[in-house]
Amino acid sequence: MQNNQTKHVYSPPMVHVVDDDEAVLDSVGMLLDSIGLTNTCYKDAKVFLDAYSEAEFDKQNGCILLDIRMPFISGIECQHRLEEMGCRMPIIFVTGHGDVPTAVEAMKSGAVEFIQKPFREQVLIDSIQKALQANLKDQKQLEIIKTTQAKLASLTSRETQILEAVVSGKANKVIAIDLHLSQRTIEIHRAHVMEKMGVKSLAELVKVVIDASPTD
Amino acid sequence: MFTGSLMVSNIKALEKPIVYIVDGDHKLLDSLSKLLCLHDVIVEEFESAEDFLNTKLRTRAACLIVEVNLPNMDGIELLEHINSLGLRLPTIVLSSSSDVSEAVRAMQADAIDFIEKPFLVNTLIEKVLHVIEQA
Repeated sequence: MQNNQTKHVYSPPMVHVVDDDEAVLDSVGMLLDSIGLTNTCYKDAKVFLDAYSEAEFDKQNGCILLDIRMPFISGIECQHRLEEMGCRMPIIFVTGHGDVPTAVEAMKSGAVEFIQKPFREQVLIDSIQKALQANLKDQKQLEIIKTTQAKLASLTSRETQILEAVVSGKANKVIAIDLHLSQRTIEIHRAHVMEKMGVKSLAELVKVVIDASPTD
Repeated sequence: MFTGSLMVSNIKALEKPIVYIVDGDHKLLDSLSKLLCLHDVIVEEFESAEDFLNTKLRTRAACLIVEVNLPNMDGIELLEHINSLGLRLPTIVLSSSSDVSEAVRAMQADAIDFIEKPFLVNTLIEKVLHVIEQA
């Protein structure tokens, strides 16, 4: 139980570029290649969404560059569908037809950036790097939550009960009275909880539980 | 700088939500505060970001409405400053220039909305009331 830190190796992130303008796809693709970012280009949102739903790539690792005005499915519509499908990759809109209401709507729906064409290459690169960093942080966070939840699930119902009481700040004595058990029994359960959760102190236990609880 | 409504010694006034408006446009300030008063909301008006920062926020602070174009510190900088202080105050940003990058900056600073001037005052009022309801 000592060495249970996850040794997850993160695969290189993928930048998904969705634009109906072939020239843009070419130039952005080349730009990303030049700085060594793996990327895939899609000629419209439908192709991308199909690839996404068929899981042709790691669904959460990377970021998405979306054009707004495209045939069949608009960038904004694509954003909504991705959200419905539980996509957590950051979305950067790149558009030649940006107006304030569209930008505001896109940002409200969680886009990280809204870039107008023509743009300076560095602006795009900076935004992508920022988005990828945010994505990596998000993935790590998810990983931690998953590990902790797995640990929490391994507790017996009695242990869970005692964990909750301990985390809410109750002393062993109080828990013993509440649960009609002896203090010694509580101590043993408590030790098991600490061991299963892989922590050494109460403070650590509280931190682990808080980190894994869903935030807004 | 304060509206008359703030000085009402009515005890009920102590429970009313407060909306802060930072905008140099007096006409807009007047009409907004009159309309919001009708909805039992107290309005405090400021002409600059600095004026606003010099005031004490109350616990009944419900919402901030801020114009981007202000002397010295602009409205978005004000919002970023408020965020950096760790305060959470739902903020609606107004702007008379329809600049996409400005809108993006405001939304990245966690504004809940960005409205271009001129706008229908009622739209704004509805948004403000919605924010207050959710608080």
